[in-house]
Amino acid sequence: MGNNYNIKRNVPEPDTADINKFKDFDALLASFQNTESTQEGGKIRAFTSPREGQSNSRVRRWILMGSSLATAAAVALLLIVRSLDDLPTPAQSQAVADAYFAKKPFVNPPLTKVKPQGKKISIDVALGASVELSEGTRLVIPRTAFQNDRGQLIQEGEVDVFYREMHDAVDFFMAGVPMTYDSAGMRHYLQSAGMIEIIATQNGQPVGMAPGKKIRIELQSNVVPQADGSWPTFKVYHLDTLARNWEFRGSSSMVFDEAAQLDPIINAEQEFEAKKSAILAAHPAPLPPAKPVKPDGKAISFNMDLRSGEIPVEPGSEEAVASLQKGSIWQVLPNCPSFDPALLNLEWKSAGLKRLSEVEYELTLINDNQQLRLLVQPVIIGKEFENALKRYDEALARHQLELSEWEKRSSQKLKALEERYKIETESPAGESTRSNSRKVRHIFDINAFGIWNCDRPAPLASSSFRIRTIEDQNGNKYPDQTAYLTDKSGASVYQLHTGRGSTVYFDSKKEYLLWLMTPEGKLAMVKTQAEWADSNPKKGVKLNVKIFDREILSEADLRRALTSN
Amino acid sequence: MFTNLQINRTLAKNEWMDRSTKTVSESAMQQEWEEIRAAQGNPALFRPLYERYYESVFRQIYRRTTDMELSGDLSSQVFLKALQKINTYTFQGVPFSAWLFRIAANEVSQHFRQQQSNRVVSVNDLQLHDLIDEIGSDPEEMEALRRKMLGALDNLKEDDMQLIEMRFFEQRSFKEIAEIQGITENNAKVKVHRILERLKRKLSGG
Repeated sequence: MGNNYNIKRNVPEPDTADINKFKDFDALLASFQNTESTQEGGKIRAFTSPREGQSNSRVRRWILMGSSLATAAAVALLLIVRSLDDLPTPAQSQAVADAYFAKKPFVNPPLTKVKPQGKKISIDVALGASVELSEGTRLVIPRTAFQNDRGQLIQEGEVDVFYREMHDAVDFFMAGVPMTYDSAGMRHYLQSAGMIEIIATQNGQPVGMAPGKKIRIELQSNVVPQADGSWPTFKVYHLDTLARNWEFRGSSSMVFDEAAQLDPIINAEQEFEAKKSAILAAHPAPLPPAKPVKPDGKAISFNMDLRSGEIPVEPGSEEAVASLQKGSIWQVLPNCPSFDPALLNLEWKSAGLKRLSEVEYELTLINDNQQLRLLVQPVIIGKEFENALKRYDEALARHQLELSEWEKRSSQKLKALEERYKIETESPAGESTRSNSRKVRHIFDINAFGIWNCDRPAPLASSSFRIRTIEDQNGNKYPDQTAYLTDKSGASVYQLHTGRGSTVYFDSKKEYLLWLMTPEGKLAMVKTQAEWADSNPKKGVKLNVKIFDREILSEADLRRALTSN
Repeated sequence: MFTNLQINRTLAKNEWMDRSTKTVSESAMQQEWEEIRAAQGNPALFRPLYERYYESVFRQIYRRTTDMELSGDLSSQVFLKALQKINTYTFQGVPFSAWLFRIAANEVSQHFRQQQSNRVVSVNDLQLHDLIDEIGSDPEEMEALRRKMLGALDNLKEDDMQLIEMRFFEQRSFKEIAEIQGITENNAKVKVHRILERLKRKLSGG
């Protein structure tokens, strides 16, 4: 280095309160008047006041205190009495909080009964893939991008990639991912434009990314312009769970989705419908068993037993074949395209079977020269019909159980989606986001699996208060656990310790929600209180949390709880 | 959440300035000019200007000294000088703060010259990332790049360092830099661009 400057890295900024201790306009004016009258411009010191000449106000206070031993003793006694009621120093409270979080897992999902949903994408390793997800995100995975746990390149076969996105405070909270970024002792909060978790396995064994390979992520999200109308830029961080910190990995490039500039409400509704369809398509309802039917005697029917293996079945037909009852033959449906019945007497080398509905099947007969596609229905003849009816009743009972399980799973997903849509379209926070936001793709490359965050780091908010105690409506206190704080933007979740004297940083112009999970798995929360803005740092603020009186069993429950009141 | 960048924290209590651009609107400048004229007639009426800009001046000095007591002393000196010279101040169509920031920069430079010591430059890693981003980087070598960049910065001339400091470490707009430096906005952009090019060459040359 040239040693021309004394370059200091990551020096903490002073607080406004500390700066204000040096501010004294009366002293400045007096110095100005002195220099004007003496016609000499000498240096002045901060804290100098015209009433005190060159003496320091703090020194004067000590002199006054020393003037009377009795007064001093009384003051000392008063200080001792007061100190019993005072909070620990901020440093002491911070040390307690640090020790508390050091003992916790770095990634610590708080809801044991709610598992975040992800996607499984199967990739042919030799080919790679470009995958469009229902969220609007695209993943571009190159060929032979994986290696096994012994560092050997995986050259063929399938790898399962597990992927999920996190976009708002509820997602970040459920994931238990810390949203702070420590850089050389300075703490910043990450305001996320979107976060992803991506891992991969082959035959159930975890795999890593091969050296030199990168997966291109094109993460879709909505961004809101800054106050001056300009668009924010975002950086990319990878969560280093060993170092317990986020690792800076460069910037993302942001591409606007020009096609998505419709009316924001219509946009949100279309998005909702598309996501709903995607959920239903990904988890189709189980089909009921086919009710045994006797042939009607008029339609064409023929015997071809696919269950016995008499004719090989094409790959993908197995499930449809398994649904067939013993003794069934085929009856051609009235809506089947016309064909020459003599074709049924030909020799067919294989058959494909697809179940189209409860009763309707598509049967494709294949030989070297042609394919015959028929719409058919299985029918049962003879004594076997009575047995088939019995089996049908049993299968129907099993199906009803499966269906109720499916409805439960799907309705949870749909409810979560509906809650999110409701927040986006009806809440005041959604209003501002809706009116200004643009759909964008954040494009960046990753070279490792894990959690990646596309975000903007911001320092602590300018206002703060200290927690005296947290108490619910039943008088229960929560002195030693994690609380979560978010503002209406929902771009971040700040985790804090609920201990006595913990500091909560906030922006006085925003509305916040602070919550914690009770040991019974219920959510206790409080919105911004007026006392936050004007609290005594030695006394702190009592937070009166209100319990949402239902156990949180799903993402939908959580969203409903956080948007209640 | 926590959207206010450090530099904006100063401005949160200072509605005079636009929070995002840290510049002053035309009408606000006119109104401020009335306050200046009042202070020229009666120094006691300098108070609103002092209240408005004390914290931002203090912060600028603190970043260049990292010493609270010294920052308090130099801030007092800046405002004393401003008060002493307010009768010579004429409206140039730029915010009053630009004039104060220029006095502050001179006071800091003068202090370090008198002390015969190197001036402090406060660099936040995040802002360093912005600077490295601006000239193009491979994030996989970030720590090595940070060290190289700090070495390159240490060789800058004082005027160039001030521009980089204002643009990247104090996150000022080109308009504001131009106002403080008394140059045009385009000139400020060109100067910063040239310094970045030089830094880029230094970094790529190892």
